Amino acid sequence: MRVTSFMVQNNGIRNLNKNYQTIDKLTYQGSTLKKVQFASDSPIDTVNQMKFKGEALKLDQYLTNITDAKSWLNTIDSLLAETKESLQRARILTVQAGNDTNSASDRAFIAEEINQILETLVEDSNSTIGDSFLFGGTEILDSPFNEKPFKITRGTSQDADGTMKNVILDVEYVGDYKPVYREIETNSLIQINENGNELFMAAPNVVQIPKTVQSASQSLSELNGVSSGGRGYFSINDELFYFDTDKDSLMDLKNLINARDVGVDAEIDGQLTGKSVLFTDPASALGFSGTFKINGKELSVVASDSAVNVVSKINALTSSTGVSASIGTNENIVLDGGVEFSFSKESGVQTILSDLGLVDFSKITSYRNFPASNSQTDVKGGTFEINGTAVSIADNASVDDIVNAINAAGPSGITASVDAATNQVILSGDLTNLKIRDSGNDASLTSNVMTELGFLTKSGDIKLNIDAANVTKNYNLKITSENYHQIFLSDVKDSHFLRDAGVITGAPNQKSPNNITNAAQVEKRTIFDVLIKLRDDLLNNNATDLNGVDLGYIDGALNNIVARDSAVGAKVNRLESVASRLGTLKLNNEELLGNAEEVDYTEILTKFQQMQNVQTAALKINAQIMQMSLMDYL
Amino acid sequence: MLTSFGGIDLGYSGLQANQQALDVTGQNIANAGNEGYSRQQVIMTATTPLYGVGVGQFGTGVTVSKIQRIRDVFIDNRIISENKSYGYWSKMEELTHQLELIYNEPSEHGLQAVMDDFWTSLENLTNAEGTAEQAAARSIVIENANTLTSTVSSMYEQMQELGGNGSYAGQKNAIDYEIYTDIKTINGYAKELASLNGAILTAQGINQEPNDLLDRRDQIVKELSQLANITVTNRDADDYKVTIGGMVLAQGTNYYQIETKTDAEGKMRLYHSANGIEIKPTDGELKALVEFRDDILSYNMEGLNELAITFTEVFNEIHRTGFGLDGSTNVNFFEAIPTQTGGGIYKLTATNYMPYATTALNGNASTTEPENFEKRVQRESTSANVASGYSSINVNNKFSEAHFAAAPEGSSKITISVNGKTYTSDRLSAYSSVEEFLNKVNSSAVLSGEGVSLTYDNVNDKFIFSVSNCNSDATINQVQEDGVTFEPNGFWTSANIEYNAAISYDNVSDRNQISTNNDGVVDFKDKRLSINGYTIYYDGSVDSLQDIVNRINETKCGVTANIDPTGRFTLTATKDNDYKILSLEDNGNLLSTLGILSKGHGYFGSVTGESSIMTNRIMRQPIENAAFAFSVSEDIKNNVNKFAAIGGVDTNLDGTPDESNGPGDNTNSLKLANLKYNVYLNNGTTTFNDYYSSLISKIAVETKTAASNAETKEALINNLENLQASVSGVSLDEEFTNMIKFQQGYQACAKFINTLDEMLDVLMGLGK
Repeated sequence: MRVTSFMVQNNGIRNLNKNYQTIDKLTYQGSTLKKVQFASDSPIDTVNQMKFKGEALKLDQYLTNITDAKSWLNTIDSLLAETKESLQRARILTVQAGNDTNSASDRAFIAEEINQILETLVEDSNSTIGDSFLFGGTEILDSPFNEKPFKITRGTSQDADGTMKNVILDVEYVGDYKPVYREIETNSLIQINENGNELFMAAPNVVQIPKTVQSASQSLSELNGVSSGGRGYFSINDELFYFDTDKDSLMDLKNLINARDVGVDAEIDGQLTGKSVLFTDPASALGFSGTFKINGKELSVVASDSAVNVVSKINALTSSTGVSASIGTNENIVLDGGVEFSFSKESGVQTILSDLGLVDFSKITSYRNFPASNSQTDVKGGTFEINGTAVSIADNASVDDIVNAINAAGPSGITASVDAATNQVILSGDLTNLKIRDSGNDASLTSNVMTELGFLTKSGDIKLNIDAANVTKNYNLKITSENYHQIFLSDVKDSHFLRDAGVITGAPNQKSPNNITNAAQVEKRTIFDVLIKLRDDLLNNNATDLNGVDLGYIDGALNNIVARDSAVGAKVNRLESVASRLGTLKLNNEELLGNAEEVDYTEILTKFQQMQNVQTAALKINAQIMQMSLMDYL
Repeated sequence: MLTSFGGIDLGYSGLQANQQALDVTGQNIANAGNEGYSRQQVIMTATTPLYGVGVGQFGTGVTVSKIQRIRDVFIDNRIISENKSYGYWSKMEELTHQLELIYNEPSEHGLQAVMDDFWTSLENLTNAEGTAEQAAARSIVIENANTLTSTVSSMYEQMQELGGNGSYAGQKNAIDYEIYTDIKTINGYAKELASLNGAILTAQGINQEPNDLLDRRDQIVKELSQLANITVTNRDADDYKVTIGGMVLAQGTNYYQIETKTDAEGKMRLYHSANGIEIKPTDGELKALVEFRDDILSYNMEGLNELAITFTEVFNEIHRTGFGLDGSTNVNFFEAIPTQTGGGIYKLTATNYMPYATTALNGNASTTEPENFEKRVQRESTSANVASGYSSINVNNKFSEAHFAAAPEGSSKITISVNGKTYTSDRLSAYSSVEEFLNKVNSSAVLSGEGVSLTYDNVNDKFIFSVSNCNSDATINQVQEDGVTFEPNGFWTSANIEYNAAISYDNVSDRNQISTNNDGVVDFKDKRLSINGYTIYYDGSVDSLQDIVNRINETKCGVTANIDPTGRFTLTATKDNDYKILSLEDNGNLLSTLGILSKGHGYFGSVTGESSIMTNRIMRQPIENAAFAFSVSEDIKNNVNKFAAIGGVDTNLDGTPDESNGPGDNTNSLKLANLKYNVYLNNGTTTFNDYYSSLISKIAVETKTAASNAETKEALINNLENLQASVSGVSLDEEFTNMIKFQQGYQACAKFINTLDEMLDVLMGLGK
């Protein structure tokens, strides 16, 4: 091939240029120690850098958050330890003061010390970190203008033997129960404050509906003051519960509340006192038999059973029914707890419950109340059966329509009528073996009317009303906080069930948990209440309580503090283990980031040296070639 | 037989030939550095010999028959064809690298670093304790947000200047300007080609070798080939043709021009001057320019737009539900992205709030929880989405019958308008009592026809106009007193009229009325939504709202579903269809119960079709250059306390928190900080960081590909050029050698003539 000097020179220059490009890159890498100048140098490293840098920031942030959270929790931990010691001291003093050798003045001295403990605890309960209260939720910041989460009322505590002036008479929690969180891992939050209304409680909070109804299965509208047609939501500890005052009973509410995990237990409080029946000796055989259901649990009575046997059979089911039985003073059976009797659709209604004196057996009544017997209802039309006789009704049939339809179909031995006062449907006649079916317990039927009216339970059993005339009973619903905390109750939006039921006050500015009426507040005891009572008992020389309830109250307070303190300790441990895990992740991530971002300096130096040699050689050769030309020799 | 002087002629021809050869050598040396020059070679031929008797033929000398251009046409063709793709890739490398520089990643100042700073400052705010620390942390968040927005909009602006649609600030964008310049060059070359063709033809016609003209033509073709996809055909010497995309640029002495026009989108397009057909460059620099502008750059600009739009929307959604230190709520953190007037629908938010998003729509009948969807949906009772009417209107003024009696002659009339129809009473002085007034008003055809009645509240002494028939569509629009006011003054004046705007859905209906089936249960089985033509089945007995949201997002139908922080179902168009929801249908009652679409109606993208949309929470298509508008809202800039770090409680159960948690709370800033982990982009699959990373990795790979292709092609071209140079290139050594050769030849010829001269002298001397 013919080669000209220009070709040689051009190629030489091109090669020199290429070398310079490599040297340029190496110089950049060598002087910045960075692998990538432009994203296109290495798209993968670029994206990795972005990813690992973000990861590094995230991990650093979490570690900062954890340190911060630990400082909160450690502060809380030490305060709780102090509180625990104070309460233990109070306990020792109480035991000491209970000794009958103490005179009134001895006790007054001890009262002074208890009062000091109280003052310290109140002070501690209002502790802050930065501007924030450790136990006050999020609503208040510490500033001279704000009140503190534990509001105290001072006054004079006076008695026969001594007077204490300007002492704490009442401590009210006005903070909120909002948690303060730190994010310690992706989507993992840890609460770093403690709620004052949980921490400083000495007993579970108990709230009840202060009004009673005749049957736990009756519509809520039977509660005095609760009107028919009410529907909506109320909330317990900020969880919503739907109610319908016509369709729901206390029993329904109880089941509903217990089915959800909102930190409270609900129970029906009340007693059914059966009417006196025909046994003279509770241990003798009753002579009648049958099968019925109590709160959905089936129970069979055989002829040889005595009243005692029946009672123990009922008690055997207590854990699932919530009902306990005993023999009453009038040769009767007494049932504690909310009761709903029913019969399976196969067995039909039986006389056993009437025999036991627990229900009246002349009629059964639907549970659902209606405002008028001739207005439309929300029932679905179609067919249902009473004792095997089909009855057909139209959609939205009124109570009157339903009664007329039943009577027109004429089920054997049964007559329907309307209760003029409540517009309930009454079925009377020969109720033995009465069987009722609708779409609620038989899919081949089309109407749900018997379920809607409340003749059938939600599981399709035939429900038996407990007649008011023969047995005494009154039921209410009681809810107890699972842990020590105040229960937050409120009506939601436009509904007013809790207010109507007398549980919460209607006053517009009363916020939870200070909105519970006195009648509904069964038990609410704070550590401060315990100490105040203790101090006052000491001042009043109330030896009975000092040796009695006071000690129990202090133990309650101590138990709570100890439990909360260990929970805080557990949180700190968790933080530490997360922190150590994140630390490892951080190291790994730093290595990955290093790989993506930084050059291997040795490699760069070596490469640079190589390039330098190459370039020096190239330059020398080029210089030589440039000189060469025939012209020089002419 | 030779003449005596024949030898001198012969010598002279040698002198001339060598001189000409020396000239050509000179020309070669002079053009040694001229790219595109082909070395020339003198072809010498012996002149026609003479016949000498007995001795055969005598030579008569030499002549230069041809000055030949040494060039390999085959290599030329290879160069032309490789040059096109070299032009494409090297230009592409240049352009993608420019874009890469705009992104400026990886660096401490790129968008990634700025976003990271922003998220970090949010986290720090979350941890801030105490008023002073809080205030500082808030300012930092807002400063970082400013940096974030200005980084995005400045990147966008640079991209716009590089090659955005249309002219930018009166200037052509850089790419269009380059296309324009290239076209001018091409047009100039076309013209020159035509004139060269003419000159070459003429020269060849008189049997000359137009070597330098041919070189020039080859050079032009080579340069053209780098710019665009040209083809050269040279079947006839007189029909040298250069075409671009099959359309003639120059043929013989004819040439055409390429014209540039800006299309409707504002992009510069190329057209052939003769037939107006659009030329789409398929190779060369022009292809790189057009492709980069239309595909790569616009993809990246759209990417930034999507980032800005989505960031603004989701950040604001959460920010609005939080509370500032001053108690403010419902404040936008970022300025809402401006929307196009009359644009399509970008986002629909349900009117109604659904508190149970994760349980099956029809619930569980075994508890007393509301057993169906209908009951769980919390309706909004604001009048905003109801027709502009009222369910009842009270006239609150103490009133006694005496007033009618006392009404003076000529006192005013009462008008009431219902559903657009108006009823006007007689003058008040015509009535003697309230009862008479009521009877007259209520018996009027207009009011009774529209289901409105007037009652008089004896206890509070006021008139009440109300819609009496619950099933009627009536709304009262206005009640007013017409004309002169009678004593006591201002009876019907606006101050005394109370409009009961809160219309319950049960009472008054209009197109926005919530309609349900009989039992308000979401229809079971085989019910389906159709979004943009994609079908999404749902079954109220098993699916929760969240399930349906997930299913919609799985289809990637160009609409993303979400449940916003106020518990409302939202449908948001993605950039796939230019941020527009194309169609929406539901053959069940899910969308109607949520308050998005009227039952039994569909939305098909037209403006008139919007009457079937129930919600008034409609956001239209964002403007085209949304990333420009990305900015922190004025409210926040002016008052750091409005930054909603604090969460709240929804006390009235409408989904929107209405009561602030208090200044120590950080729940909302936690939520905002957590946005960085949430997937909102790419049909709900990608986080902001990942989305941005993918933009970067895409352009990085594109640049890298272009660079490595350009390098390969360059090497190839270099080799080909070396090949061509080895054929056509001037070698100085060779020329010097030739020079000496021709010089010696010349000297020898001169010597020959001299010798002949001496011979002739001798011959002449004989005659003396």
